[in-house]
Amino acid sequence: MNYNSGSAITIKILILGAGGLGSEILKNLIPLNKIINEIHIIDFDTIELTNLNRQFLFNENDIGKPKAIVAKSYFDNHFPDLDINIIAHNEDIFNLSMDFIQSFNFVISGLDSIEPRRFINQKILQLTKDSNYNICIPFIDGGTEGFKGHVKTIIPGITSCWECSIDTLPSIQETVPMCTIANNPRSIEHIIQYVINVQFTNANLDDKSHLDKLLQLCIERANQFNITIDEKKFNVNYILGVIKKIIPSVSTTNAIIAGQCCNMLIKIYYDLLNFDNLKNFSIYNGSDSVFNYVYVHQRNPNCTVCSSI
Amino acid sequence: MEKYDRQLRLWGDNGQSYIESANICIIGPHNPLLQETLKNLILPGFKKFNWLNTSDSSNIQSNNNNDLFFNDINDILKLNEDKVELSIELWNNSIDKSFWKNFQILIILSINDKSIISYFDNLLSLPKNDNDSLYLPPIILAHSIGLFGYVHLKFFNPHFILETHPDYPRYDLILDKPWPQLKQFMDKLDLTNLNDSLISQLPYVVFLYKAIEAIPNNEIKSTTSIKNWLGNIDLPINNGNLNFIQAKRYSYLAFYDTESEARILKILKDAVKFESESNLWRDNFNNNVIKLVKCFKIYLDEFKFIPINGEIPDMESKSEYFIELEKVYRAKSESDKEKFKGITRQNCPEIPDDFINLFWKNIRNIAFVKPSKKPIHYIWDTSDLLFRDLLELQFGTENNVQMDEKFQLSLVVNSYSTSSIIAGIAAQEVLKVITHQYVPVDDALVYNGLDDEINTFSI
Ligand SMILES: [Zn+2]
Repeated sequence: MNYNSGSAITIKILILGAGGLGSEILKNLIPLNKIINEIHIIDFDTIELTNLNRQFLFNENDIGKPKAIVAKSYFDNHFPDLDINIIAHNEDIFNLSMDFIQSFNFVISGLDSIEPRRFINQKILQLTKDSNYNICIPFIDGGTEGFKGHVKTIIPGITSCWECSIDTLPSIQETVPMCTIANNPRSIEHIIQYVINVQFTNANLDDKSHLDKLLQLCIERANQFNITIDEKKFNVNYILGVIKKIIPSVSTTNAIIAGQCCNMLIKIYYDLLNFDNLKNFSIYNGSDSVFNYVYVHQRNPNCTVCSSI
Repeated sequence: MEKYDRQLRLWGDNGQSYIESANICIIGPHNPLLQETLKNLILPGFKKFNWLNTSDSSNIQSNNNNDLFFNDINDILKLNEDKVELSIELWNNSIDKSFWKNFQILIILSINDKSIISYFDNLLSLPKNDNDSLYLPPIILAHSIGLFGYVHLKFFNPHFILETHPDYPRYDLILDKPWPQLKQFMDKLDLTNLNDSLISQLPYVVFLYKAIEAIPNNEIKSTTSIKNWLGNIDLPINNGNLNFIQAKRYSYLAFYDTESEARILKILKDAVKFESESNLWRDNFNNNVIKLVKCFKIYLDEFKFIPINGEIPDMESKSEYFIELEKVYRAKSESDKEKFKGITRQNCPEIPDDFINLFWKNIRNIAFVKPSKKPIHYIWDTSDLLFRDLLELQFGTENNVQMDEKFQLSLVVNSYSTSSIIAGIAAQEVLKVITHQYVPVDDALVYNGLDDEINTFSI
């Protein structure tokens, strides 16, 4: 790497996502104003009420506004003399060009979906390959779910890349066979899957009357199959949780994972790491005591993205 | 409540109501760790705080520290649109001991004055018959510096968790101890008389039950013998039948789980032992659980087996079979529960019905953290070298710390992210303690950001 300890090289950072994790990352980078001169933050989402249990840059007046823009304006308002230039992009990550990406020294992501991470990973690896190792942008990826989280550090061409670990992702929910859902439902989840996939396929989940109808249909079908409904738990929110596969989220885990992402950046900058045997993956689980596992994720020799680099 | 939707999926309305009514005391100077901890507690909904500031007396709440993210502590309070109360005073060593009974938890952050620890150790050493000494809630100690930090959680009473939310819930089907209704359900299903289609729609527990029934009593009934029986079964089953595959895979669930039983019995025994040894303050939840644990021992003396909670895992099956089976298990659990409630009505009629139901449903998941008998200053006796170094650095005795170049650099890099991590962990432990859900750390952890390691250990 180019960064020697004690050097005063200033760097430019791209943050993917301005949600709970992205905001934490942005906040943690502000005190690094001696080494960072520019931060770009990109997010295409708008603020929703359900974000606010883990958001300290947004408030209820911001609901409906673009996350990245509001995050930036928080710093304009609260840190008028800040010597880091923050630039917000209310844009789709898939629109980012190679030229744009290669202008950064680091990319840190705090996203909740897989495809944009794969996209960025591929672009960053491509840059290293095309430049014959002249460009090497560390990609630090954080993710959380409930009390659990991970940090993956990708040094292009040296460590495994994001794609190398694609097989370790939990299979996108254990799928229940359609014939079970249609003929042999046994739980309220099976009922909901049938109603949304067969009975009411054009339901608009933002429309309250549609949600009420969904609830009604679920109750009717549950009764038809004698499936007991726990009235305390079963409501529109429960149905939405099943349909949208909503991931639980809390401020504390975001703080822990974002902090680890930023410490990784600090260690790379100050050359505190040995890249050859870098324990590049870490997993945090706070749901039973506190468990943190860090290990070298080996490169996959058949990886479709990095095997030729 | 919609604002809290994403976290209610972790701990439910019950957990949230504990959070919103808890009273928290924070002791420490105005620094990033304190701000971040407060932020991480206010966001999920904590509303009542006391802060005993240990900074120099001037400028008690304004920002004269460039490292802080929030200019004013009141900016953090505004993160909740509902009213958040924060009362601020300066720490002093003559605070009356009765003060602490107001709180569900104390969080001591980044103090550099050992006399604060002595203050609490003095309270702990007061004679047990002094009634005023009954009040000391759990204490969290935390600090961060450079790329390092620690969190230490100390209980003075047994702390119980009912909803532990295990990643892989354990079901007990107790097919080796059938009750009349289960036997009746199984006897109706005669494998030799069912047609191919119905056989393929049987829940796997039926195969397991039939296997146990078919194995002669003079042979050992084990998972292996079940698998053997299933392997030699003379039925129109092809290997693709999901229910049959599940029968083989889950054959270990057939028998009453003696391992779980031993674990639960140990917890019950320890809990009663620790309870009898301590007469210190305990919260209502722990108090209720202790009473129910004692009732449950009476229940076990009479009925011998850990009862089922009425839940069975989803399994490939025709709806009717599954629903009926589920009803058989639920009814058994309910009728056992009535027997248990007979005991609780006699011994602790004040415990709400909902709480007993919660206890019953989670007996298999119950966990508890032992109270600590050691004074707080025993932290200095730790065998964890990094923890020891961090304490020396925290309390200004760093002459005792040996540092190589890498360690030195790791101490002076900007530590905001580390404060954020330690505050996140500390607040997460507070959430777990206050909701009585998920098992908290027992009883210390050290974060080593240089190696990305978090080491947990007991002091
Ligand atoms: Zn790869």
